[in-house]
Amino acid sequence: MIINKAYAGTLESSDIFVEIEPADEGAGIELKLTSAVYKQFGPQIEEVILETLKANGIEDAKVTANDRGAVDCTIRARVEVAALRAKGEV
Amino acid sequence: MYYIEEIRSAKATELLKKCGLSLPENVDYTAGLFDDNWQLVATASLKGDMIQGVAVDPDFQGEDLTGKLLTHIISRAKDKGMDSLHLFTKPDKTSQFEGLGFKAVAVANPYAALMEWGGGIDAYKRSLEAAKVSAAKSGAVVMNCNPFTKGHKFLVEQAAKAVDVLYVIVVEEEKSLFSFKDRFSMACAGTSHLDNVILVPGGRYAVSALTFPSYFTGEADLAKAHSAMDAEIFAQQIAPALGISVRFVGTEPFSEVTAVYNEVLKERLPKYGIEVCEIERLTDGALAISASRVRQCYEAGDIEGLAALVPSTTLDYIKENLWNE
Repeated sequence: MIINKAYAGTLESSDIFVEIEPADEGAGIELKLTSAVYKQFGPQIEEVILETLKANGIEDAKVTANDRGAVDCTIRARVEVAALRAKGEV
Repeated sequence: MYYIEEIRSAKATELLKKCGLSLPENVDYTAGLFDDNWQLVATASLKGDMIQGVAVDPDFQGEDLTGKLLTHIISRAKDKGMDSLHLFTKPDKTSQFEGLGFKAVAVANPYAALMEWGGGIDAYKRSLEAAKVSAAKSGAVVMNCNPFTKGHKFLVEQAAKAVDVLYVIVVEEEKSLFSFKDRFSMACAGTSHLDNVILVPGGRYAVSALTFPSYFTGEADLAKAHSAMDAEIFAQQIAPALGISVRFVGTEPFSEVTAVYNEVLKERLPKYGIEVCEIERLTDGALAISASRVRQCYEAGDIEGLAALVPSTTLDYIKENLWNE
């Protein structure tokens, strides 16, 4: 699958800024998460991001996420839009 | 509600003044953030990959306007194909930008901190690590090589004798008479007789124009502050990536700015366990060989003058690649 560089979201409080970049086939997902609440929710946020990427058919990509305390539904929405943009579907 | 749109940069003058900042010069893009009454309450500008002139009206602070504004600026830069963005802030303000996803590349107390959005420094360090050769004692020189002179050759030869591996870091920025490609090629040709010398590009981070505006420190301290930033980036990022324990510099008889630079290196690098070793410049009669004298000969087409100042490798390169065109 061809993936373009894409991003979605904002750096505002309660939001998350998600960037997706192409990676070699078979490289898997390389996720870098920065979050003010990493200690409390880091693994949970990562899980939501990975799940959403999978649901959108993104298997190999570099993903950077800057979280400012987004709730799960916001994270899903931002990741999904970034994924759709990366696939050129929006 | 708030609205963001492009404004003429001069429009931000008053707001910046209210925040104790002066107007950044020659920017590529300025964003203004307005409230419901179309009053300008926040601004930020983009100049290349530098974010400058970030200001939020003190009456509107605590409303997360910086987040809104920087989202706009970063999105614009990304749409223009930029992956890494930089900004300078005061050392005590780093956490504010870290909260927005910026990382501190280096902090040069008391002047400034260099913050970065994106993975520029990480990618550069990976490229250094790929070029790295393990050795008991590794050293580095940083040179512009504009062009590569007998003076450069002498300095590299002396430095190479003192260490197991010497990294010659060639300034990558295109602000010189000779292009980076030409400067790098001339440095390669002029050092190819030395087995323990490895050339690496300086990227965005070795003596680059990642320099900050004078409002950070005042004109008087500017040279010192720029040198401090450069020294700290070298000590905190470049040296650890290559395992460097000694930095070589030439003595500086001509330029006051370079003399200050050497002083600042001597003051800061030892704190990181990096020795600074000054090598006496090669002199040609009474005059030290300087690249600026060479450039005068080059521009005047003076082959004999050039031959006295540059190694044959540089002269050949100039004849074959530059005077031929």
